[in-house]
Amino acid sequence: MASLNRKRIRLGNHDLPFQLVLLAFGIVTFFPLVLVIITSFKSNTQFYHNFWLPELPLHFGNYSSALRIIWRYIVNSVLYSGSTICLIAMIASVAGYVFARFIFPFKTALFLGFITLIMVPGVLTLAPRFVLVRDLGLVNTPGALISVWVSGGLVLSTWLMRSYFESLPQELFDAAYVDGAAEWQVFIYVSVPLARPMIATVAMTTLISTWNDLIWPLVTITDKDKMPLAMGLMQFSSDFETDWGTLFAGYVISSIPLLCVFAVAMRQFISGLTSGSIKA
Amino acid sequence: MFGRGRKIAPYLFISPFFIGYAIFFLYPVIQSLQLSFYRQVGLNKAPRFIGFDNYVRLVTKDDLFIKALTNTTYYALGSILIIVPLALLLALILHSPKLRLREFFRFLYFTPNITAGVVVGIIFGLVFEEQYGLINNLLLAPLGIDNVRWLREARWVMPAVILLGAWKWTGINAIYFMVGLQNIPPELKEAARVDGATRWQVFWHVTLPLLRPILAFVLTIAIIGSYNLFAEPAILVGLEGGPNNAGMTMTMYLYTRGFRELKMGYASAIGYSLAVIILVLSVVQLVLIRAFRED
Repeated sequence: MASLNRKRIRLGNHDLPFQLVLLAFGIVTFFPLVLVIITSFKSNTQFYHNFWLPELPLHFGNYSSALRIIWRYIVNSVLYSGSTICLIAMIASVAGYVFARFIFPFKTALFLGFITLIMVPGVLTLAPRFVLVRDLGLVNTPGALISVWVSGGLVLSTWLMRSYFESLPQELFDAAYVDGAAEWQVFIYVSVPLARPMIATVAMTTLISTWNDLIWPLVTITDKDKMPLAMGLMQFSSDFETDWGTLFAGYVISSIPLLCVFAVAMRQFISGLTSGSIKA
Repeated sequence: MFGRGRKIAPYLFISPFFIGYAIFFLYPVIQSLQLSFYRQVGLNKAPRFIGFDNYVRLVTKDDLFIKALTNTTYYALGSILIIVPLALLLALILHSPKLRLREFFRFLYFTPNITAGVVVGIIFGLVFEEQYGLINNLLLAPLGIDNVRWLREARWVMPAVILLGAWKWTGINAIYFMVGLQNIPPELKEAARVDGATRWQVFWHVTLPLLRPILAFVLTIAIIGSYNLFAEPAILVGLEGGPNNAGMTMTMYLYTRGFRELKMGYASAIGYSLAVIILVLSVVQLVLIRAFRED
């Protein structure tokens, strides 16, 4: 016991430098973001006068002028990413459930066929996808983004949902069958409520990948008022090129939605993602 | 037991998945393969079959492609040799049981990952700025090191992009590693330490082997992510890749050929080369990791 205690204490002393390393990491990580916040309150004169320290007075006006432009892009992104998430959540939970719980010919072959294509980089299909979307008359419409985002995100999402449904104990389902539940009832009243954590994870991976996707909107969207945020920020950057305060205020505003979502649900996101994909 | 409905039902239920996937994913993948054997300039011109000419030209005549490939590989190596070990170190520290504010640190390290590429690009434009930038001014000047022309001099462009990558990706990878560390029963480490193993021995012989599945996951994501790098360098140094194209990645090159010059066939060939590279590297990496388990 005594020796064990001594070990604990030694460990404790060892940990002090580690904590310092952690702090250093933290500062390096956060400093650029703090710089953005500091700059967002500056006028141009203040910005050129002192590049990286805060300076009074604070210019809150930057935020209102940035918001006037940025809100449009945020609304667009919420709509586009929101519809994508809903569609993916529905399709992937049904497909994942079927792949996990049904036995039917070619099941494994079908599933493996889908999964191997996860390696295919999205950019590979950029050219033919554009031609396809153009032929369908979807260029410069939300449909161009949503259709491609949904089909692109479905693979990982179905994979995650399938591994989750597979991990649920058989007794849960047996109990429901014994009570006379039909398959669709088991799905809606038993499986989906149980899978809520994994659905949340799916929603968040989809949110990250669609919210920050730049290259596909760049190819398909041309109207300013239809741009999603990631692309709108690019437009915004060239519109406000010389107005640093407003530019950075816009960046701060644009970061808030995702930060809020992840502040609330991060632990959930990580555990779902890793338990689903790593154990598979 | 369930009659005929049971036989068709599964296919019916996966059909939305199927259809969406087939139209917007599988079809373009195949279409792209076909297109890569054609010469097509412009969106409405008829394509002309030229066999492997696109691929041959890529490998033998296209210096810019080789350049983009080298740049991207440079970044991938940096990301595997610098970012992944750094993330592992960070995870080991974050995992230490006495740490306070663990949740806070986790969130802190995650923030770069959800910051939009455009914003990251602009921020790092300021970080790498020659005269007033953070690194030259705050880190190098106090050490008496002359200003580094990060984005203006070809040899410094990729190191700058790697630093940016480290900033953006170390945190999320550390979080993945942390999950792996949490799944290792503490008794194993305790036992090893009681047997007199040093911290390093415990790490090398107990922790690391048990982390293998997570390591495989992180490396695969790192390889795929590296070869898909687009937004950050594009914002940082422009779509042409800055001085002497030193920052041009394969994805940027594909984009310029395909959507600036509308050479769709050629762009598809670039895309397929990229896909093959990623596939081969991922498989090699998985095999290597498995090989380590054998000994």
